[in-house]
Amino acid sequence: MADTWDVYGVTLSSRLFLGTARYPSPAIMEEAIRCSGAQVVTTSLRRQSPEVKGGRSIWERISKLGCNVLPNTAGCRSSKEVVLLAQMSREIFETDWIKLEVTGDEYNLQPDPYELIEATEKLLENGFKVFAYTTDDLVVCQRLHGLGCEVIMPWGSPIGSGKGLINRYALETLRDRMPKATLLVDAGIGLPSHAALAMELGFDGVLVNTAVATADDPVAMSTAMSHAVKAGRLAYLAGPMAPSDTAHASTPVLDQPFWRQTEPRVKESKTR
Amino acid sequence: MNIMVNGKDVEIASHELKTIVETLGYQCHKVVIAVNQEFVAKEKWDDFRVSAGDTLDVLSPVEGG
Repeated sequence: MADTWDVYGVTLSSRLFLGTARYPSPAIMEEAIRCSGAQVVTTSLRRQSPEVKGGRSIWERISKLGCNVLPNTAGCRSSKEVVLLAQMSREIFETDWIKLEVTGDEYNLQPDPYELIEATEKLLENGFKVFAYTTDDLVVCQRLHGLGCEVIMPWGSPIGSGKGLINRYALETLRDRMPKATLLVDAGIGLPSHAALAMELGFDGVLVNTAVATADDPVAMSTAMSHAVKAGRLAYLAGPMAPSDTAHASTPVLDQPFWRQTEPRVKESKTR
Repeated sequence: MNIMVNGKDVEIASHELKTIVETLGYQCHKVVIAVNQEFVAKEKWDDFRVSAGDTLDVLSPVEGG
């Protein structure tokens, strides 16, 4: 079954975005990306020493994979820093896409909602296609979408924590209240079951990095994540059953052998 | 003159950004540059003049999440 989707005019078949950081080696990173089937990978920019030949080699490895590149603004603490880094990313990565990250708290790397809104306004004015990493705050997400940010990426839990979707209610509310927004769960996914749950809730995709890169076998884990995203998406499309507080026999009770009418059980009352 | 390049004090002879990039050994690297926290597109390197005390950030692609 074809289940393609559009992200800022680009048609994708995979709903798994993959980060490129923290892998044991560049070769393992490459293989993990290939096995995941991801079509979007995240990158970043850092200061380059002329003695180190890092930038060109990592870029050559990533670019030859043929994925769409989504540069991030990780480490930025203000909208001014964000816009500067985004402009530099646009030139070097040759894309208008930018994964907007602006940190408000160093302890849990929680996004700063005020700088996030301001940065989104400036980036959109400058022609960027913004993928906004944010908390699961409904009002912030609505404001971002109202500004014209088509892709909003609430956290499942703090970056690199692997705790999964710690506020399912908030994420369900986002999906329910923002049916037209493209929503991806970004950050906090530690297991394939977390990714599957996000997809079962109706999210359009997930972004995973640490859970894959720091697994004992990143290639196997990227494959597992890929299967989980597909399974969760398919389950969402299938229309899950409604939960019930009482049991319902799945095996037919009609013509049950050895059946006999019994008196309804009555709870014994305590005698004093 | 002295300028700051990626947080380090560097003595340099030329004021031309393109020449500075070559002198510092970046010509073989895939880099982007900001001067005094303002982006300078590569197409403007030929004409861009750097002054004493200016701050250069020379960045290149890295892995990211």
